[in-house]
Amino acid sequence: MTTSRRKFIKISALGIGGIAATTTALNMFGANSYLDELVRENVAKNLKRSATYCEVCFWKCAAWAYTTEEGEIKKIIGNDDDSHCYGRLCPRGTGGVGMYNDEDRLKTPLIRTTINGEETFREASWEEALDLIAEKFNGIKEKYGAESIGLLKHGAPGNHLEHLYKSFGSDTIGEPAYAQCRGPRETGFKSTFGSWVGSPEPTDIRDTKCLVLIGSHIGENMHNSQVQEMSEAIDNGATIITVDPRFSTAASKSQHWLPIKPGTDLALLLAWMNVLIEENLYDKEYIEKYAIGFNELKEHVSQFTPEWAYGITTIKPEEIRSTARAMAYASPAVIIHPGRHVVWYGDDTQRARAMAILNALLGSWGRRGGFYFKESLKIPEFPQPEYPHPKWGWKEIGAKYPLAEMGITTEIINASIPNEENKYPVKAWMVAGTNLTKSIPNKALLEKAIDALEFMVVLDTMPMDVTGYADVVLPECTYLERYDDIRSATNREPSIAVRIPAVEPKYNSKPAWWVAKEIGERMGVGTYFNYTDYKEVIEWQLEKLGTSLAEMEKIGVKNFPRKSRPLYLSENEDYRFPTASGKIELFSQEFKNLGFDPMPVFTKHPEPPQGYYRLNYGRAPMHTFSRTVNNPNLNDLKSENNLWVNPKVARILSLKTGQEVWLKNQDEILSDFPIKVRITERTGFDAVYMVHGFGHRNKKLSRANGKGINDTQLISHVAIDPIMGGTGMRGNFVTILTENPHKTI
Amino acid sequence: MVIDTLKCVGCSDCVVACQTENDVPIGYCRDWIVESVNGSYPHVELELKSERCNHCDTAPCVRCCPTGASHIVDGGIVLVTGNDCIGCGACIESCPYDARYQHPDGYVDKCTFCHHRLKDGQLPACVSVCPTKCMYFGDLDNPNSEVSQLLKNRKHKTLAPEAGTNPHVFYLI
Repeated sequence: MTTSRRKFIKISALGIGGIAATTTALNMFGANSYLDELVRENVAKNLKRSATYCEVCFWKCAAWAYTTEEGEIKKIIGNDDDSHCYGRLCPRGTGGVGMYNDEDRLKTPLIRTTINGEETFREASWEEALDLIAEKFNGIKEKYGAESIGLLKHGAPGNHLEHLYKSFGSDTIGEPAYAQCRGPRETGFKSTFGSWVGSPEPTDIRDTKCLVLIGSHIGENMHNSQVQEMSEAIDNGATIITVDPRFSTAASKSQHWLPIKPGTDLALLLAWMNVLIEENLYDKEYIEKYAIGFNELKEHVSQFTPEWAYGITTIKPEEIRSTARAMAYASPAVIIHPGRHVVWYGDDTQRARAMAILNALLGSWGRRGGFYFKESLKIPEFPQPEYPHPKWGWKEIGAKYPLAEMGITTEIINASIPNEENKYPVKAWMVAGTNLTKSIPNKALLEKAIDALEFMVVLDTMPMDVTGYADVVLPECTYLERYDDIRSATNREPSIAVRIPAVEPKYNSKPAWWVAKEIGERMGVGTYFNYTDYKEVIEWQLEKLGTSLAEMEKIGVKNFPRKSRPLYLSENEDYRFPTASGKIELFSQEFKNLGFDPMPVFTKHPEPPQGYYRLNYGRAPMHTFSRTVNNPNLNDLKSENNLWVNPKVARILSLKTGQEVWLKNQDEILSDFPIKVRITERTGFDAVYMVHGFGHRNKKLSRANGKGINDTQLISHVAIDPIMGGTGMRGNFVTILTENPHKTI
Repeated sequence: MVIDTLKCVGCSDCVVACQTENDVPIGYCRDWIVESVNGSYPHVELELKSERCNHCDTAPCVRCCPTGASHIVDGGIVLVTGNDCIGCGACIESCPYDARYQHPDGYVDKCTFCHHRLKDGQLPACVSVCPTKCMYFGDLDNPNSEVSQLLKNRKHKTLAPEAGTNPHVFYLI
């Protein structure tokens, strides 16, 4: 049967001008009652759209939430005008509907209580919960000082609570996004180029000719614009080089996949530098004009030949040479991607620095197809009194890591464990938007700290595992139900986006700004919250920016022209890098003064003992950390993680795909739950792999509870980066158990 | 429809977008991701692709439908009239792509290429959201259309060609 498609395309071509579905159009398709139904349901449906930006991950893509007249959120679609997400959301953004619809959400404030000798939660009113928090916080403030009240946070709610904390005099603030994630690369790049990489990374992927990924799995991490631009780069014929012991999705898109032995990336990076310099392939003019320390570097890397690296990395010398040449050929349109979750082995700042130095040798910083100079718009500060000055805070707590530039969550946790020598005791926590049991390694230490706390509050939308430790649990409404700070995106062009509630908060949930304000007023710092609705703050800020809430409600996103400087360096431009010397520092005097290697050095890291496999973990494109696993739409795509095992390893251990196994790590820590084996050629012989964020223990998460293994639970060995306090987590080894170790006979 | 497997990262955005656009109940889907791995470590190949109803020219589902609920409309799209479907499941069995499922309401459901959106001049939901822009949709009869040009210039394949169904979903490889 052959039918013509010509008629069909005519109609869709006509429609691009925005014609409505007319009876004529319908007739052209032939009578179809089912279709009529669909048309009635979907096309003719009177959907209202509200501007928002996504909060399912941290990328903050601008979008439109479509709601029915009955107030049901139907779908969420990217905002076409957004220069930050190019009008497209990732699966998590599209599935944001499920975050709102999840019937397991926290519905009302909860307070810990004891009934018949058993600790449990009871439902409470907001009034009671907030009064209790203010009373406890004030008590601790009086007894120890406001500094002893710590905040561990992530995302938009964290910003409102940070304001609350600074208002009442505490700077004891940390987020796992720093020392448990991207901290080392910021220090590594700053010590070289003078500025952080920041988020999103100013990588000019769409115009690049060569993209080098070191363990970074773009495509499995759905960092939206990065994924989109990588796709464009593929279309443009860019060379992709991926270094990863696992055959990642990105590796499958690469011309060169280097299946490196885990823990040896730094040796490869040094060997690449060696080839670029020995073969005279580096950007001489750029280095001469903008960098210092080249002679020291040249001498330093002269010993690190590809032959030397071969023995360490298992990557053949000719492969090291040919990939170095490919980078040089593309130079300066080449990107050694800084990566994101880079806390691996404890020498991560030095690895990031090696990547920065390699970028410098290739002349890619400030060049088209390399790294552009990013720009963002400063959002005017809403009038408020000056914050008080705390006597100590995150800086003092993390002082032994001299180049830490944000609170080190693990150090705040350490400071919460009673110790007479500790000058900075932390006595209470508020945890907002971060599920510590899955974002912080070494659970024993975490539980010890929580045990010692006098008071702990958790604010979240979902009953995450961490809520189980709280004295008070506060139900936050989702991003679809609230006003929030204006999003100012840092990109090629600055842009702002607004978050307008698409619907009223479901259940008895409240926005974080309201929680912050209510606690602030109860703690006597109401002058810092000079508004009744956060809408007023946004309105005031938007007017200062030359727009208005009314306009932003209609457009959602506003892009602004660049003002700072051109996107790239011009030829022979006299540019002063924001380092101490004003130059790119290939040799870091600062590191030397602090007692660290001024140029990166390879150090050997522990390898798995006999019968153990390195625990490698990563991301799945449809999930963000552990927070989306219970989302009905996203859980439908992936409800549990699997243990990736190489077929040869599986044969030795007699494992079958789908078989449930338990894991035990080098410190005899057992996984709570089993995980199903997935036998695949995509992983090597000395490591197993799983997606992070599964194995939830809270039964209130009806879809996520007990599904898969929580990798973080098995991370008890932490290699701390002496430079900035990052917690290296890739040095844990597991053995596979086929019998349930929890079974009692 | 043309899908570039060299760009697809298998993120499943197409799957969620279809569910929210077409009210597909949780636990069911009209499109899905297939991952195939070839070779042995470290010489491995991976293909990721989004699959759905192939809207075949020679559609076995239409041929075996006892009530005429499954039919082809002008433009080559295979549709199911929910009201005429008795839920016998013959079409589900006959489809070599396993593209159909029984909706909890009793009728058989599957991809419509977002027929309702096309009439409005919009692309199918899956195509419109794809972050890698690996999906293309258009007129195969028009030699100048983007899809025709892609098929002219790029190596491609269809699924289960041995079934003789003449599918209308093509994969660039």
